[in-house]
Amino acid sequence: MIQLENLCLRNGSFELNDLSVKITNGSYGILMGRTGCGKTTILEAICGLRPHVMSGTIWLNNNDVTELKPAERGIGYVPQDSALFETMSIFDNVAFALNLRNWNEADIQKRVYELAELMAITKLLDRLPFGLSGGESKRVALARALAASPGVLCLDEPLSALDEQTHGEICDLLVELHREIDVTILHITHSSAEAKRLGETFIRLEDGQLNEGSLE
Amino acid sequence: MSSTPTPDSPSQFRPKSDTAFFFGLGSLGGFYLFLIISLILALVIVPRWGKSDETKLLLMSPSIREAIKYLEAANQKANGTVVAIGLEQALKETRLLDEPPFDGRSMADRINYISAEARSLANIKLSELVKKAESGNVDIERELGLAKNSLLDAVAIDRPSDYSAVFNDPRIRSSAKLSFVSCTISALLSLWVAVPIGYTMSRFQFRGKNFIDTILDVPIVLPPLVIGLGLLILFNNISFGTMDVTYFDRDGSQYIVQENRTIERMIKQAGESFGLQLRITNGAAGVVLAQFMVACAFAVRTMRNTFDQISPRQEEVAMTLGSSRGEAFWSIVLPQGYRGLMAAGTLAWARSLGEFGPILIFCGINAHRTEVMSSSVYLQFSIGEIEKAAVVSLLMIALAFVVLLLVRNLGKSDAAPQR
Repeated sequence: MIQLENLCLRNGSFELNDLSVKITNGSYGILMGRTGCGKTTILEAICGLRPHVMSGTIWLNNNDVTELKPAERGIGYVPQDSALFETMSIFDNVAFALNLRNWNEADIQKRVYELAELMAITKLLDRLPFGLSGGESKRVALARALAASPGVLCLDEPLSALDEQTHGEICDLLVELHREIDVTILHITHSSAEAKRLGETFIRLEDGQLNEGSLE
Repeated sequence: MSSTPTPDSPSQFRPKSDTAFFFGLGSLGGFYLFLIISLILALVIVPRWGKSDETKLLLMSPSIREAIKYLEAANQKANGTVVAIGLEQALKETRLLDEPPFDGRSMADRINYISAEARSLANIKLSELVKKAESGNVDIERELGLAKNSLLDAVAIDRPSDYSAVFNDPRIRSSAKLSFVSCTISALLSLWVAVPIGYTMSRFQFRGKNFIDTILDVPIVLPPLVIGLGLLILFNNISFGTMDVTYFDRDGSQYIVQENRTIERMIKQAGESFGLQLRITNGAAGVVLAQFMVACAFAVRTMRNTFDQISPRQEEVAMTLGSSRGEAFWSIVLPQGYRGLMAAGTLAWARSLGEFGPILIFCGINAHRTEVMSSSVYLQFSIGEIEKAAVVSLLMIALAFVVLLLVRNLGKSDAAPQR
């Protein structure tokens, strides 16, 4: 569950006021809006990153996380540019959250291979991120975000800048993920085709206001 | 009648030639490269290499014969005067130098014997004769002077090569050692400070950031000399009240004087209470401090640029995955900044090696204690030993070359750690 209550945000000189919205547990939420209207700012606020929360509350799975550090919120975050850890192998990228949680070696191996199978990146595990294609990077970033089984998955335009075929593949992957894994997803996009294909809850950000509703 | 422009076709359109552009690139870049290489070559050419013993003997004998010629001329003039006996004696000894009796001594011994005798003849006996001739009104000053010069010419041929003279000079050896150690320490210290400052300035926004940024640049803009002066004043001229300082007289008796309580004296006193002889000004620690003050500013700049180039996005992702800011820094940011770290360390090290002004002012040039290689170059130059100054400079170039090469290779092999 993702719920914003009268949230006021500031990021530099950019401000968003009085945002309220709710995405129910296990639902696939789509956040749409024009470029530069503040979609990413909202996503980052949910993740606890840069934007400064001036007032209001953020609820994730019935917990008030407004004051919590990003590490304590139980989220998976896939930024637009994937931001894979350049100096680590794909395996270490995926295992990053597990290593932090002091899992033992065998469990980490098992979990990473399980996710790698799901994302079809088993062949890449020994490589460094340098030179991965856009689609492969997205898959790795997804696996990395899901490794510690977060309750909420935040996807910032995960399908932009991909060629048509890869776009379709990742789309299929997201559908499969949503079916297989119990996680609430917030997906930012400006493509209504994507929204139609994936979404269950639709939110539009227009003139600084969040409007819940249908696609049309 | 207006002419219609014909459409461009590959066969008609000719772009401007690139020759001038490439000529500009080559000539401007090549000019600087040429300057660097000729500068190093000049340093290589000037110092003299040692000569073989045979060559030395061969070169010495014409000078000695010349001296004999002048002494004979003087002898003729001075016949029957007060200097005649002394001159006769000197002439005899000089002749002995040209044909030393064969007594089974090695060539090296003969050279040593000739140069020692020639030196004492020229500097002591001939000088005495000149004085005697003057007081006796005998006009042989010119001949004696020429003979003296010829003898000293012979001595000069025995000079060891400038390289061995420098490498065997314990003073320059210890200055090289101090340079290497102090540069390494100040480079490490600079990194230790530059990484946190660079990271802070790159990642966080806070009040007064511009002001701090400007302050961090001050050591870059300031003449290094001024930094040395500032350090000297800070440690020795700023006082915090007064304190009792014990002095020892020559006879062992001690007396107590009230002196200004300066930072230098406080450090000294603190050291004494632990049984240590601590000193910053005029000490090796001061050399490191003076080098650090300048080098660190460059390291900070480099580290900041390095962190600026690493997207904060990866740290943010790491934090959402459960890492603290510190863990994200150590596991994500620093490994990526490895090359920048190496570059900053190298820059700091190189700056420290070249540091001279602040060390001169803050620590002076004390042999075996605060003399670094740049001070050695300055000292050798100031006493007219340009060849030795060149050798020390070459030594610096070699040291810098080796260190830079090492660090560069280290950066290459470890830049992307493999799993």
